[in-house]
Amino acid sequence: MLVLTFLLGLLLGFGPSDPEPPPCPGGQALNRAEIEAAGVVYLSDLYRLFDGLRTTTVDGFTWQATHASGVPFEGEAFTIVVDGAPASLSLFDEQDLEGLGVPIHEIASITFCPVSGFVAGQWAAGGTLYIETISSEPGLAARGALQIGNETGDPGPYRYTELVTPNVDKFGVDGEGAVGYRARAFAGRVGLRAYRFFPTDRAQIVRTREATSRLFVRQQHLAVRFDGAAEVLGGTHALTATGHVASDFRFTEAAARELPVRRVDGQGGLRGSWPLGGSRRSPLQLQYRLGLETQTLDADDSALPSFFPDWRSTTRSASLEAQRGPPTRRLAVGATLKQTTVNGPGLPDDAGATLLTLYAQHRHAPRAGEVAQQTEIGAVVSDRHARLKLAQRLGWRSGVQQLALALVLDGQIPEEAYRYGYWAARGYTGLQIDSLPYRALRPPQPSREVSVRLTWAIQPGSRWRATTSLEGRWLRGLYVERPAFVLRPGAEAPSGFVIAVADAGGETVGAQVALEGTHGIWRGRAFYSLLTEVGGTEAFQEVWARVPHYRTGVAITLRPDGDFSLRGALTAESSTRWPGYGALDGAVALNQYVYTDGTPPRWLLDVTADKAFWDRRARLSLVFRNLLNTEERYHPLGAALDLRLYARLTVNVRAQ
Amino acid sequence: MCKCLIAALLLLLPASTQAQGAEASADDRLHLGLSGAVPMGEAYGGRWAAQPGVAVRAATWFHGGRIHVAFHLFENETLVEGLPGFLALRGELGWGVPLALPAGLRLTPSGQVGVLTMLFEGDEVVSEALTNETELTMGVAGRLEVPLGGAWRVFAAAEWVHVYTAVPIDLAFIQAGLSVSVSTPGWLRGML
Repeated sequence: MLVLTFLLGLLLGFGPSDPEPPPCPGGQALNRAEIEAAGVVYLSDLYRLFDGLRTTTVDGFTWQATHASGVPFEGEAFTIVVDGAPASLSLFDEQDLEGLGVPIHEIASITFCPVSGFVAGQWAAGGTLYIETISSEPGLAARGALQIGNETGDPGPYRYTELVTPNVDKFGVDGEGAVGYRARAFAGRVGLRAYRFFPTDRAQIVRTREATSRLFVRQQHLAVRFDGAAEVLGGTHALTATGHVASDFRFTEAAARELPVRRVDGQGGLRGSWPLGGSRRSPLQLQYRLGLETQTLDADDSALPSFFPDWRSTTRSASLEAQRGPPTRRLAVGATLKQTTVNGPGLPDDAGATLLTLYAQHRHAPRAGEVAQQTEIGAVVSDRHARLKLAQRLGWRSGVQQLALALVLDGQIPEEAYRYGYWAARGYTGLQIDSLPYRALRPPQPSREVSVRLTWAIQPGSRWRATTSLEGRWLRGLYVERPAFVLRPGAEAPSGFVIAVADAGGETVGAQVALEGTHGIWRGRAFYSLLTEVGGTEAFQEVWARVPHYRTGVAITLRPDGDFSLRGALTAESSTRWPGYGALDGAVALNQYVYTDGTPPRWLLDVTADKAFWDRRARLSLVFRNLLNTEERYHPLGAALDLRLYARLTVNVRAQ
Repeated sequence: MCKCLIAALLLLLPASTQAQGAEASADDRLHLGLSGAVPMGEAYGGRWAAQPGVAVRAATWFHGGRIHVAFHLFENETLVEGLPGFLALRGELGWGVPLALPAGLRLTPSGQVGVLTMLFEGDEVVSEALTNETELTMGVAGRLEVPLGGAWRVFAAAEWVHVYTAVPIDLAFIQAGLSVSVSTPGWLRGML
């Protein structure tokens, strides 16, 4: 996969208000040192660092994450915000973090907040993933990284014998870089990022090779991002523009295979704030956001008959928010208008909808010992549906203890996060292939969700901290796809059908316990996470069977000085079963690969050695994924990820 | 097999804290070694035979132990008609904890990771597209050094290397050679 990212960041020292994530009960934050020690080589590697997230992948490069909310592994699991600007990554139930275009070495922190609420003028269902990038340094500075990876299992000399096995493609050589300049009143940053990936695992190669007319089965991505900010007319304003071009083998469950597509996304946003007066203790300011998003999806060197996605989507948005008071005691009211127009095969011209969001927020964060609260109420209205939103957060801190309670009345109307089924119900046929009919009994309907989350944390000193969370959710009106796949003799990919229901519902519970501590040069963290359904309709139970119910792990980091770290992380996840794939269990593909109807339990040991050299101008990371070489699979049709080694070299150059 | 290797590496970590105090002040030097390596046992299921080869090594002090980079070159002759022979080049990065023994002897257990590149021969079997293979390796070794005088030492080592090909390969070697310690160049000290 080739990803080129150009990053231009300007004026990170003065941008619109609220650049940092708000208080987040039950959330988890990672700083830059933790990200470096963990050996993140792809953005999606960040998912595995969060205790409460579960992930799935077919090819080992594009990952979907889920937690307690919504339909697992389908659609937007949460909202992603980069330096205060929402990032739009979703297309047809896939939310690919690799399309973000943020170089890994530019990330200063990342926070996952699992509680829904209003963020940047929109309702963030399922919570928010906040990514903060590092501020530009004074003077001229440049950072770059090269990485290469290898998955074990090549045939070696046995390729000339009866024991021959297929070759295993390497990862990379990949690279990324950033050049930044900052003066007193101006700062700029330009970045470059490049990745390659080959979806040629035995589980996939028959499907991917037959789907493309190219000689080589490979993926390529190009992402462009610009950030700028300035003080104009007494206000602070920021501009963000992102472009993403991907030549991809996109696994689509509605087709039961990878589809060779070319995806082009564009996103631009202008946001800013004006002070409107008020007193010094209770300032009044107006915030605005303007946004434009475009998406296209076309067939790319496709060998599939009658495959023409021809998808064109444009979304325009405008938002105004008035704020009164400092961040610790603030009242805000706002409105957002969002219009989406779509064209594609089978759809009427300019299909789409307009969405209006109205909301009010009140935050009160007093001193320790008092109860802090954040109340959010709002409504989301389209021309067909409406839904009320309510989020109430209470927090109490006294001495070494913290207690937080979050209550959310949630639920989405279909126009808030367009699922594939929404457009299929309106006639879109672009992703359908002849051998796999897709039938929705009803189009997506407004869903309802009630969630309660209680978090308790204790931190007696600087050496250790314990956190416990309990969560329950009640969900109704979910749109769930129910596949029924078979593999016919001589077929390159499964066939069958997909039936979608719009009235799935049930209840889920989640629990997390985490203990972390430091002792000298050692740092440790242990966690346990439970995430399961406890009842519901048959469709609901089937889709939640795909989620590992238990996840536990321990990570130990040895950091003798600021220049070297050695981290080992042992993680275990329970097995899963995918009911719609039951008939595939034991089926043999054309290359003799044997499919299963689920995934085995995973015991994974990841080890990372990270060393800074040359007065920290360079950094070398050796990352071992699945060091025990156990069976690591996340999808019945997905690749088995054997032991992988990545070597990543980052260089940091400064000139005053 | 890999789990035993990982356990062995973990055992080295606490030993490093014992070795660190004794060795650090005396071992701010670069150790260069040249050795011959002789294969032990059968590695390829009777299809090839590894041949004696040559290895070069450079090591220096690193966080409680010695880090080393080494390269080992050896031929592999075919034992089955129709199979190509191949030249193997093994590169490794390792870390070990030197343990001082009486009479100036030094025993260094270590672990290493690396790659094995196989360059195939034989026009009748090998096409242009199939000239080489590369795979990840991991291994453990034990190295005994005996002082000769001054900066020179003679050493013998035994090592076991696991190659992560689809059909796993386990290689074992005995090495013997000479090493010399020199002052670590300033630029290298600054880099590390």
